[in-house]
This record gives sequence, C-alpha cells and structure tokens, in this order.
Amino acid sequence: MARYSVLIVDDEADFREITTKQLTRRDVYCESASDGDSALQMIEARDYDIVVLDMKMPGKDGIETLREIKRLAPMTEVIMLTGHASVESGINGIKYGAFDYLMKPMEIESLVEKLDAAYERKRIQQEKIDQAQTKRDMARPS
Amino acid sequence: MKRQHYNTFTQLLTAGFFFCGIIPIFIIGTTSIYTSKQMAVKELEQTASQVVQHRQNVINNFLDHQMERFSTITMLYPLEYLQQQEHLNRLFLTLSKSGNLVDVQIIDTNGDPLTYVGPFSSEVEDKNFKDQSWFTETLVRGTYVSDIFSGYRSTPHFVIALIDPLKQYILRATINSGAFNALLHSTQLDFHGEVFIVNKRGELQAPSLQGQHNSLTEEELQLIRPHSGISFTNRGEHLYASTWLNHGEWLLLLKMKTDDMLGSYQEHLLRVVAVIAITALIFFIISIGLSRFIVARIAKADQEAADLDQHMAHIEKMANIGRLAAGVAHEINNPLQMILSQASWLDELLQDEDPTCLHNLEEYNQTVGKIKQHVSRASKITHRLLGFSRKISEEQVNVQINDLVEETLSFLDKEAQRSNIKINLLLDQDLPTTMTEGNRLQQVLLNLIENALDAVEQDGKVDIRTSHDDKTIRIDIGDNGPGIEVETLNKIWNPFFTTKAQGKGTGLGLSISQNIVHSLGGTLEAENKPDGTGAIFTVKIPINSMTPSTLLG
Repeated sequence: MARYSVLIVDDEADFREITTKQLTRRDVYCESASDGDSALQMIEARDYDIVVLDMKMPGKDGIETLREIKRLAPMTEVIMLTGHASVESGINGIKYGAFDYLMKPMEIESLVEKLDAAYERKRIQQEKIDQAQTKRDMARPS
Repeated sequence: MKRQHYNTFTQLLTAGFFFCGIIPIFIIGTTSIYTSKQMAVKELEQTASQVVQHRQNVINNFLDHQMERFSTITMLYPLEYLQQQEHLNRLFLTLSKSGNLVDVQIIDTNGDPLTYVGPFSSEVEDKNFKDQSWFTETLVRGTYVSDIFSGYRSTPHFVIALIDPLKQYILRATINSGAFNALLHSTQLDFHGEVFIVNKRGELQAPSLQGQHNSLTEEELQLIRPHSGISFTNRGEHLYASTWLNHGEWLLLLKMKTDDMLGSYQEHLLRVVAVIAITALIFFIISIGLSRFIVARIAKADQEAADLDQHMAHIEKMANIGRLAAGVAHEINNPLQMILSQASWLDELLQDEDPTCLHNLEEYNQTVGKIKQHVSRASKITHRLLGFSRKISEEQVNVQINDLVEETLSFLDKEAQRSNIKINLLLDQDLPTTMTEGNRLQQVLLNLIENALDAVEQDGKVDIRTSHDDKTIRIDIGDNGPGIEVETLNKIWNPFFTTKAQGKGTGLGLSISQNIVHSLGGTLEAENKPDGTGAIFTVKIPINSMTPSTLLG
C-alpha cells in the first residue's frame, strides 16, 4: 500500500519517467501528466494527495494550473518546481495556495522531504475535518 | 568639439542680445541727431534771413538816400545855376560834408561835360559821354547806378547819374563805396559768416570782411539767378543766403560755414554718440554676461542629460544581460535536473546490486558521486546567473554596518583559516545605523571579502575598515594581494569579466555588487594601494537615505 499519491506535471517526459520511478521505489503512488489541462482532467477523475507542478509549461502555465487545481480539489497540496531560481515565482505560487516550491536542479531527497511534509499537513487537516464531522455527527440526535 | 559648439552659441547669443538692445537706442539716437540738425539748420536760416534782410534794408536805404539827395538838387537848381562853377563848388562843399562824395559833374544832354568839382578834373574835362552806355541809360531811364569799380587811385567807387526833371542836364556823382562797405559790415553781430555783394556778372561789388573773396567760385556763380525775397542754398559745407538789391542789379550774398554755425548741434551730436557708445558698452557687457549664464545653464543641463543617459544605458545593459543570463540559466537548469535525476536513479539501482557480482561497484559509486558533484557546481553557476537578474525588492531596514560586516565574516572564517589569512577588523565604534537593504548589502560585502580572500591566497592579510562622515558610511576592504592591473581596472565592473581560473568565477560578482550598491544610492570603487601592496575596494552608502530600491527594475 502506497503511503500517498502524487501527480507529477512536467512537460519533460524523461523527468516524469525518472521521478515516477524514484518515487514509486519510495513507496509513493505516482502518476504523471505532460501539461496543465491533462493534469486537471486526471485530478477531476481521481483524488491525489499531492501535485508536483512545473512553473513553466506549454499551454496552461504553472500558476494558472495551480489555481484550477485549488478550485477543483482544495485539499490537494501542490509543490511548485521552478527552473527560474527566482524567489518571486515561488512566492507567487505560495500566494495562490501552493505548499512550497523547489528550484531545479534538485535532489530526489529534497523532493521527497517536501512531499512528506506536504502530506503531513494534508493528513493533519484531513484529520481536523474528520474530527469536526464526527463531532457534528455525534451532536446530531439520531 | 562640444566646447566649440557652446562657444559659438555664446557668441551668437551675445550678438543677438547686443543688437536687440542697441538697435532701438541707435534708431532713437539717429533720429534725435537728424531732428536736431534740422532744427539747427532752420535756426541758422532764420538768423541768416534776418541778417540778409537787415543788410538789404541798410543798403537799399543808403542808395535811396543818395538818389533822393541828388534828385532834390536837380529839382531845386536849374541848369543855368549849376553851369556856374562857383555854384557847383558851393553845392559840392555842402554835399561832401557827409564824407563819401568824391566828385560831382554836370553834363548836358549831348554828353558834353559842363562843370566838374572833384579831384580828377583833368581826366574828365573835354570828354564826351554820349556813346557811353551809362549815359544812354540815364537818358532813357532817368537814373543810373553803376557797378562798383576801383577806378582812380584804386579806391572803390560807384557812380550815380540822374537827369533833371526838365531833361536839360545830367548830374553825375561818384560816391566812395568805402562808406558803403562800412554799412554792409556794420552790426556784424556774433555772426560767423561773410557778406558780400556781386553784380549780375558775378563781379564783387563789396569785399567780404574776411577778404577771402576776390572772385566767386564756379559754384557760387550759379547762385546768381533771378529770385524774389531771400533764397537759401546749401553748397557742400556752406549755406548761402541771397537777395537782390538795387533794383535787381546787385546780389547780396551771405555765406556761412555750416559746421561753424551748428555748434549746439555738434555738441548734441557728441552727446548722443557718447550715450550710444556707453549704452552699447553696457549692453555688450550685459549680453556677454547673460549669454554666458544661459549657455552655462544649458551646458549643465546637457551634461546632466548625458549623465542620465549614460546611467540609463548602463541600467538597460545590465537588465538585458540579466534577461539573457536568466534565459540561459533557466534553459540549462532543466537538463541539469535530468542529469541529476538520472544519476540519482543510477545510484539507487546500484545500491541494490550484489557487491560480489559487480567488480567495479566502487568505481560506479564514485562516478555517480562525481556526476552529482559537477551538476551541483553547474547549478551554483546558473543560480548565480539567475541571482544577477533577480529582482528582490526588500524592505529597507535600519542596519548597523559593523554588525553586518561581522556577520558576513562568520560565513568566511573557515575559508580564511584554511588559507591562514589574517583578517584585521578596524571598525568605527561610533558608526551610525542607516536605512538600507541589509541582505543585499551583505551580498556585496560577501562578494568583496571573498574576492579579497581569493586575491591574497595563502598567508595573506585582509583589512576591513568602517568609517563615516555626516552623510556617508564608508567600508574599505583592502588586501595585500597583487593588486589590479591598470588596464583591467575599468573592466572589472563589466559582467562576465573575470581574472579567476576557468570555472572558478562567473565574472558577475563585482557587476552585481556595483548594481546593488548603486541601487542603494551608494558607490563602489576600486583602486590599487599607492604603495602597490594590493587593492582596496571602497563601498560608500548614504546615511538614512530613503533611496528607491526599484532603480534596478
């Protein structure tokens, strides 16, 4: 059983392939999409815990896709990848609801670190929601 | 070339101002001179007219008086009485009391002389006058006045002849015209002119007082033309007034030298010329001053514009290079990511292998490690390139530069120790704080100190000194390295210029540093120590300045 599910969105096939391999090896369920639109379709079809999103892609760019994702699945955490070592684009991503950002090139370890942290947050928040729901259900006279 | 341009401009402006100022003055002055001359000439003509009128009256009166005297005699005494020498003598005695009568002669109508009283009796007796023109004219017109001639003894005379009412005899008298001259020149006034009388042929009848005139010049002869009243003629530098006398026989001429007569006008002219000259001088000085002032202003504005242009060009250049660098770095980061990912994957897979089956496992591991190491090196470079174009707009905070220096040094201590480099800190204990972007300034300090450490190499010495004056904080970072070669001294600020070994530096450090310091409103300068024992980099940052940090873009 995989620890959590990740969707990798990047226009570079090699990157998608190798990262999928590496993450799968680390007990993470991993799928990939080559652009923003197909990523959104996949998110509509299935819940992912975390989306790893490249900032710069043909078609919909990272920020746009990020906003769509947050609209479709607010609970899904997003980690932005940027080839620009610019802090702004990262900050921008965080402003729109990304969990964090990573600059390319990065080691797989740092990605996994961020993924774990993101999943942790998601898990905690999910727990809070569950607790709230339980409280509500219990309060409700049946 | 530019100097020349400004000089020409100054001259043009000076000329322009000068002429604009002086032309109205000149016009007013000229008009004033002209009017004044007109007035002076008019006044002169008036004076001349008065003089001429007066002389005309005097002479006409004199002639009329003489004529009347003799006409009375012819009326009083018949021929029979005057035929007797004795009677004529008595008459002559009475008449010549006034002193200007030379002789008197009685002639009958046939032209034969009858009696004569006077000094020239021998010359006139037995002389028939019948054919002489004056005699005929007297017979016809009743009276005759001759031109003045210097006949006997070369004293000037003129002759009056008239016929008696009964046409029986003619009385002829010679009158000394000396008296006449006295009349002419009487009441000479303060008048700088000459008065003389000419006959129709232009022969002088009464000499001018100055005696300059023995005969008339060709020009003056043209003045003898019929006219009524007083006529004025300007000939060259002389003004002539003329009027006819003696029933149109004689012309009274007044000749004045215009220049002598226009004294007040001359004075006025001098005054006006002096005023114009002084005004011109003042205008000239003002024009020079004004145009120099204006041109200096323009030159200053030009200079400022040029400086600004240069500054803008520099900023634009930096921005372009930044964009280029960012583009390149970004494009390279993606393949670097791939190399790194692939190497990591390889590494992971290698760990699964059975060490006994793989002879060269150690070598593989090492190779993968090297690949990762070099990717990391390359990514450092690309990140620096991206940092060059990075636009971090930081909040300005109150920064104590001393603390910033010490903090920066803490990053570099290890490196310094490793090379056994001694770092001397000479910090100004009273250094004020300043509003600036601490992190960016630290980036600059880090870069400069790193450079210094690189320059001194093993066992060197780096001095870091802070100081301040009223407006600026100064940080000097000196080293005892080889210094900077003179020809590279002004190239060190160029992006991608480096003297470090290939792969050791991007050549962007100083360029970025200078941009940062400029954007903080300060300056960054480099120089070699005067004694040639290394280089000094000086950062100057304004105190409390609220410089816009947006200057970089």
